[in-house]
Amino acid sequence: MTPKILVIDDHVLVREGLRRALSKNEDLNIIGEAASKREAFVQIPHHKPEVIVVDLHLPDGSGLEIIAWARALSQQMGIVALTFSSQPEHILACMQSGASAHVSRSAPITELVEAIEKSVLNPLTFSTRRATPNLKTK
Amino acid sequence: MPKREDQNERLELARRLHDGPAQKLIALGYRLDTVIGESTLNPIHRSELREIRLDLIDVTEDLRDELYLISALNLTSLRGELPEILPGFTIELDLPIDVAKPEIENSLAILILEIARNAAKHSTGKRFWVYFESSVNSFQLRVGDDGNRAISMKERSLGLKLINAQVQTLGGEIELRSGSFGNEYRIEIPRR
Repeated sequence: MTPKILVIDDHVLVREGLRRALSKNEDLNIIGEAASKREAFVQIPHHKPEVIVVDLHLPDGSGLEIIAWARALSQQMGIVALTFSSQPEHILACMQSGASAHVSRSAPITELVEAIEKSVLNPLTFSTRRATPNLKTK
Repeated sequence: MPKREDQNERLELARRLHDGPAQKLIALGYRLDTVIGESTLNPIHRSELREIRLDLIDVTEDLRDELYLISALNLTSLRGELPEILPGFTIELDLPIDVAKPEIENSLAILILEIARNAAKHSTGKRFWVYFESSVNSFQLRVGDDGNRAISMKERSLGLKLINAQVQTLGGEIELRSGSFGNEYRIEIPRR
């Protein structure tokens, strides 16, 4: 299966870089891009992607809102949060909003590809390579 | 207390660096990944490019950490934030401002703010305190409020997770005591 992917990121250079790097992988299919929360809310129902890759900082709102909205829309959609921050509270927020994975924006593209593939297989689990503290309450 | 304009200038600088050079470095990394993945690439060049890619990850993460410190809270700015989070509370803040390295100071400030937000949301009290003690091997913080209603686990669940996450980032331990005096977090953080 070649998952259909929608990239949501307001930085055009990053979107271009992602498109170029991901398109080298024949098992991935980028079907669209969105540069804002508003565009994402239009593109997701239109394209019905199997995976969305979401930046958390968008000009008109937070990627967390998109994650929560998309998760309410579909339990099958893979949702990968692509963030600059690796602060534990941000990773926790991604998980609690319904993301399938967290990937650092500084990481090589192979980490993102791995997270996309995992998110297709297990959209409701959560994975990250960042060192995270034990988040259990005492 | 720092001027609000100084804080705003720092945040604006952090925003410009985040949206400009940081994103360019990230995009450059993806371009390098594309070249490294070319099957026709000479193995020696691939190896060199991989090393460059690792250096680029280091540079990008260094910039991220610096941006974090530029935009981060410190214990001085915390003094200005607490009254805004806890309007109507009497705030007792016994906290030296040069207590630790900037990254530890930032985590301490976030930790205290998180507890304050929890108190603002759930406490029935009117007094909020932060007391600090230092020993050779650790810092001890007592952060609490005089609300006489014990907070339920359900109510404090998310707040506690975030508070625990910060304490664990600092390699410390935390304990919550509730009683007729109110609710008090006792936090111990080892000196690094």
